[in-house]
Amino acid sequence: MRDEVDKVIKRIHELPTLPLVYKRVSDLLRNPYTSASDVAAVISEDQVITTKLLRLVNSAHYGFSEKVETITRAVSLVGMQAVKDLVLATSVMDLFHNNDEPGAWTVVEFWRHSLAVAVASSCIAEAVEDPHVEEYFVAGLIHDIGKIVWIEYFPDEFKDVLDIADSNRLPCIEAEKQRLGFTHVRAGRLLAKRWKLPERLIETIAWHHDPRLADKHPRFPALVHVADVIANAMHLGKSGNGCVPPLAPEAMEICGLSPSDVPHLLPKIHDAYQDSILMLSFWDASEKQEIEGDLSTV
Amino acid sequence: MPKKIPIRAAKVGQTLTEPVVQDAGQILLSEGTVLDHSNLDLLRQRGVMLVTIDDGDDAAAPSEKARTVSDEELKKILLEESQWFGEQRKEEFMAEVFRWVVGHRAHIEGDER
Repeated sequence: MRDEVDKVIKRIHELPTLPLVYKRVSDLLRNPYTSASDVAAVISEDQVITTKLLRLVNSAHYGFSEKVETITRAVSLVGMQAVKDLVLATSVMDLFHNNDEPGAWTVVEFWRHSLAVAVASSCIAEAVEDPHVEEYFVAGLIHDIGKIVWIEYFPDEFKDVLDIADSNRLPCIEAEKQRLGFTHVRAGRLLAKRWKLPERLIETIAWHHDPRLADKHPRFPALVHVADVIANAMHLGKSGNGCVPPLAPEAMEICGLSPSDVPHLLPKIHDAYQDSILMLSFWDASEKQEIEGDLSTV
Repeated sequence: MPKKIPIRAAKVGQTLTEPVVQDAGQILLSEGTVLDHSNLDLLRQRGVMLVTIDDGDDAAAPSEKARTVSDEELKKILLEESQWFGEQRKEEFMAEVFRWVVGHRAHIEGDER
């Protein structure tokens, strides 16, 4: 088991770094005098991210009545912080989209589940009137990023994990402990630290199964935890669990949710997920080639 | 009937039953305003998250939707979901989620028959 753990840690250090554009946008946002056009100018230098970002902003998730044609307009509509988070989301999703599939569990299903948690997180944030709706969306989208390490480097071992979870009706994290001695939250935390992600995202990735352990931004892992449980319960995408993962009662208190919220919340999550699922289409291999083909002729 | 909804769910043609007021006290839109594309965009740009609209159309309860499948099919759904949820379905919040998921599946599978 120790060998497996060492292998995992070594592999995490070999994973690709995030695109330079994310670091440059992060640096810009540390300066209070940065304008929307400064941010837009940096993003526009990366044509692939520009194209994807405009598609995201024009998706049903945002619901703008008119097409958003430029990054400057996108930044002014959704805000600089939200755009930075979306650059992160598009970059992460682009790094991992074309891998071997461990058994019946596909990378597309993984992203479907991640999108469901993102949508559920933003719906919950709206329901409890938390102003950071878009930040929760991105936190939900990348909460399970540690599983990418399994798909990328340990597909055979991860297939065993999925089989153990399925046949014993276990949460994926319990099957990981049995088979790998290392969990996706631990792998994800290492990866998030290596990428120097914001602390709220590191805590979400590290503690979304046990939000009591978060000490700086407990609301992020708590809210994403509830969203994760709900997305699993509703069968939105597949996360590798053999059952609905256990809901931590304290997460409900931290979020300010009650059972009476369910009848209003779940239909909204369901509809928002159906509206947003088209977002994933631009990670489809053929469409990716199409976008890259378009860009190469510019 | 007045209902508070997220801005994302607001639609053109709905009528505000409460004014939309910013933190500084400025009224963005007054009560009785019929939402159109431009004022929906304005509310989103200003970071408004919730609006109160007149919505008399209450969604059918899951238990009503479940009538669209046979008893046998409903039993099968209940069994599958009971296994999927495990003992959690007996806890208060998850019991509500369980009820909704079963009702939703019964409705969908009833439609597909």
